[in-house]
Amino acid sequence: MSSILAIDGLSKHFGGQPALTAIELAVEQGEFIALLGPSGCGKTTLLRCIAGFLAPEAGTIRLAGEDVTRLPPYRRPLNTVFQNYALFPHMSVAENVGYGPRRQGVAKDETVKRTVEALELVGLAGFGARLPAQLSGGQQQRVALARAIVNRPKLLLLDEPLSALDLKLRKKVQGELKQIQHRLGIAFLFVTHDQEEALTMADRIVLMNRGRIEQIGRGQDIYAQPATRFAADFIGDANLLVVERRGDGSFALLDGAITLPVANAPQGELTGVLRPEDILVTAEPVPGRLALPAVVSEIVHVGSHASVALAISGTTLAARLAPSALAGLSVGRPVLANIRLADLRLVPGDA
Amino acid sequence: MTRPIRLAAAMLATTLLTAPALAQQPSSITVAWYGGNWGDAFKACVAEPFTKATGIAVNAEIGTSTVTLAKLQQQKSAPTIDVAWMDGGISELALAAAVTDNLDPAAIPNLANTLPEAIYKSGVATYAVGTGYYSLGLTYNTQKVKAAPTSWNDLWKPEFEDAVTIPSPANSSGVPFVMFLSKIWGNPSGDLSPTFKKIKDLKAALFFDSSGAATNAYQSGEAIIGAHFNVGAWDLADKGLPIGFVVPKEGAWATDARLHLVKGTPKKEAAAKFINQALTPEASGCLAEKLYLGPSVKNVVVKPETARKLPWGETGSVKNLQLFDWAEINGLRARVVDEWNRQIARK
Amino acid sequence: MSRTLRPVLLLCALPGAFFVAFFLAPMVVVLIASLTTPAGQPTFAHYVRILADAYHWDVLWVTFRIGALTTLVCILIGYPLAWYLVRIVQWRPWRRFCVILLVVPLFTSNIVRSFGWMVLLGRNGLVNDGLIGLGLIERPMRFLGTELGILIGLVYILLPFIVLAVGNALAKVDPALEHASADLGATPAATFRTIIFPLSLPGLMSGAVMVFMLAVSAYVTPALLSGGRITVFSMLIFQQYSSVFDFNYGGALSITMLVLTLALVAIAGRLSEPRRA
Repeated sequence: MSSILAIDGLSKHFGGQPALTAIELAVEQGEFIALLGPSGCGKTTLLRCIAGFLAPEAGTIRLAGEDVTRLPPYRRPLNTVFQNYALFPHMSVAENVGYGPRRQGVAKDETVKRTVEALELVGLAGFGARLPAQLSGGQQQRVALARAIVNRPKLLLLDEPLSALDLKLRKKVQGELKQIQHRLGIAFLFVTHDQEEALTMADRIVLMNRGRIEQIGRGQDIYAQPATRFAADFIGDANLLVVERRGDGSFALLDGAITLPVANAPQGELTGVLRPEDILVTAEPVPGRLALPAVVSEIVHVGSHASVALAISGTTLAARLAPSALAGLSVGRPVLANIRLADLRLVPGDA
Repeated sequence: MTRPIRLAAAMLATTLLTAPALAQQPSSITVAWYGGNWGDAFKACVAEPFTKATGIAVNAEIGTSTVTLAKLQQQKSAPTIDVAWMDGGISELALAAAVTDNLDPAAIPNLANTLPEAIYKSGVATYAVGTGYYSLGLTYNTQKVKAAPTSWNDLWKPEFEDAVTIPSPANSSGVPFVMFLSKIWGNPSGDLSPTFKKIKDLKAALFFDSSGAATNAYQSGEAIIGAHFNVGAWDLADKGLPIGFVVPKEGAWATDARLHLVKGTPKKEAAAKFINQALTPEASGCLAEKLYLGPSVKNVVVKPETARKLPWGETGSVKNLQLFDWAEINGLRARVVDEWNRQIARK
Repeated sequence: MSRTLRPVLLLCALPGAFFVAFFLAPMVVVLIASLTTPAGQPTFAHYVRILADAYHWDVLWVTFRIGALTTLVCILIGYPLAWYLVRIVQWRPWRRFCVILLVVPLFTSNIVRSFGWMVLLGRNGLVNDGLIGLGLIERPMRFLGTELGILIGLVYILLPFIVLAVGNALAKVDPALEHASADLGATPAATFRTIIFPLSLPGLMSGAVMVFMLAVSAYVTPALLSGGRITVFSMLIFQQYSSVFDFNYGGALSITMLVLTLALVAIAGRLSEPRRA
């Protein structure tokens, strides 16, 4: 069976500036996908191309096997939850939710039935007669969701739908959204710049940077095996180490303190990625690990753990320790930083 | 657009200037006169020489006679206008409204050199003095109208259909013109219906409410024949347009522009001096040259070219003009306006 | 408390005094005049004279008909024009130029404008020459001195009020609403009908009310373009004040006009109010 959404070689320019370059993406039935990246990375542009508000210069977009690249927005079997909800201010909640079915020529009583169902699903039963201006931000967000899902789209696009809510409400709505998605079995394509939101909600994350897709995968996979320096840096904390390519083909890091043998490393500039929790700080060497002499330069307590800054060969590395491992550590003390070479990944990109 | 601003400025200026009790000469007076080339001529012929001679500045309050009278009536208790030019007819209404003061020959010595016809008295008091006559004659386009018209009845000729213009009652000449027509047709003065019946038959292009509208109509060719003031018609001819002006055999209706001293003005002395200035042969001659106003001052000599264009023609005098009894006209004014509205100004 | 209140009261008093001096006081003067005889005795005679005379109703009918047609034509031309300026024109200098072109008539002198109309609409005017040249008519059509002529003149100077009011309303419609509408399956026509037009309606209404009020109360344009052959109500009022000097009867005419106009506008406002559940 073909993917719900299949994007192939999609490119988009704005006045000669590339906004999207060679985007390849496939979304399966019922998947929750997060489009993640910093502002200006092209995630919203990609969403607008899929919705039909922007026309790409190259590539195709297929929805459930149908090429919709040149179709106007109103002919595409998908719906969008807009960033600021874009509720129609002159229509009641029920009129807003029933708008899609009415436009599609659904019978009147069927429209009413679906509207009531959709409002029940988002927990707004009985709010149908109100005007959007009479609702709170969270309620408006739910109306926007109900207005989109009432059409039973094959794919739901969500453009940073939670960014206008405060933190506590956002957490609550995140859970509800995930639940609703689960119940409906509709594929969600969710744009966000918040990595935590993406990690908690998405089945897969599409990580974007400068109009390109850096990596696609489950959150934990991107974390454990970042494909690029940007991926390593954007998802979770990482120590990014300069990699020198030696004449014999081997690699040196930390001024030669670590030497890696010739491996199937990619061409071009490389960066060494070491997660802070992969560094063990001890007084004595740990068997099976490479012990690097270091000096503690800073200790920051962050509740459940502590972040320790270590000076090694003129570079500062961050280590993440459990509070129990902090015993006997103080700023200025020489220690050993123990690492496993297997934890050290070489990825393309300049450190 | 600028009229309310100018009005406000003039009012402000006069309020500021009259505020201190002044026994000595004021620094300015306010004179109401008409817009366009009339105002320009009054300024050049009277106001400027006056300021030069006395050092008193003149603020112009621009408006038609009727508007000026309305203003005077509204500011009766505290006038901001000191001297007002108003046409014959409106002048009598101003007298009835008691907004004019007596013109004292001692304060205005030039009254002695003025034609007796131009001095308007109510009992012993002089309420107005004429500064020049103008007439409403036949005006025509000399290219489109081959033979010069000789009678007002020529306006009803079929060849002029939809190209005629006469004044509407909104114009100061409108009501008297209706009565003038009534008189030349020999209709009884008490019954206007035959007169209106005939006017209704006139195939007019427009009924002009202002002299400017009439000038526009002749200039654009919208009207090729009709009534117009000698002042306006000769002005067009002077610009090189093919416009002729004749006094028809029935005569031309005429009136004059009169000066009034506003009752209750705190600057009575300066105002009287201004009126005296307007009655000098120089001022009167100047108005004749600029506006073709028939001089109301005795022994004014004008150029032969100008004399031809005066309201009474080359050889005539004030005796040849049909000057109406304004009391009669004003008595019928409301009725004429109403009848006109109902019968003429309706499709 | 009274200490903090006093400056506020003083600040309010200034516009209040302005309102009383320039709006309320003249209105009261006219109202009182309309209810008294020239000698100052109270009377309804002026109103009876107006309302009992079919001629006045006739003139009112002409006046309001011209006002309504002016409003209608202004909407039919002004709405698309506002749309063009706000939604289609991208190049800002061109938009600015168009707006200036639209507003310029308001600043030209009446005499210049009236001469312009004669040159354009007169018997030998450009429009008639053009129509005859194209073979559409044989004899010059009469524009001046007809309701059509007055209509053209009023639309010309009142159009900017609709365009600016509607343009302002259209510019305020969030583009996201259009996207949302398209996203929910509405064609551009359906989006206009269900979203954009209803949201621009308040602007359209306020523009229409302004145009209607200005059209029925207009004096100069009808006076110039009627050629004295058609009478609208403001001319009757002006005649009483400027030619006949009957301020009592003139006042009653003014108040009649004011009350009827406000009543019509109120009815129109009630009728066009969007139905609300």
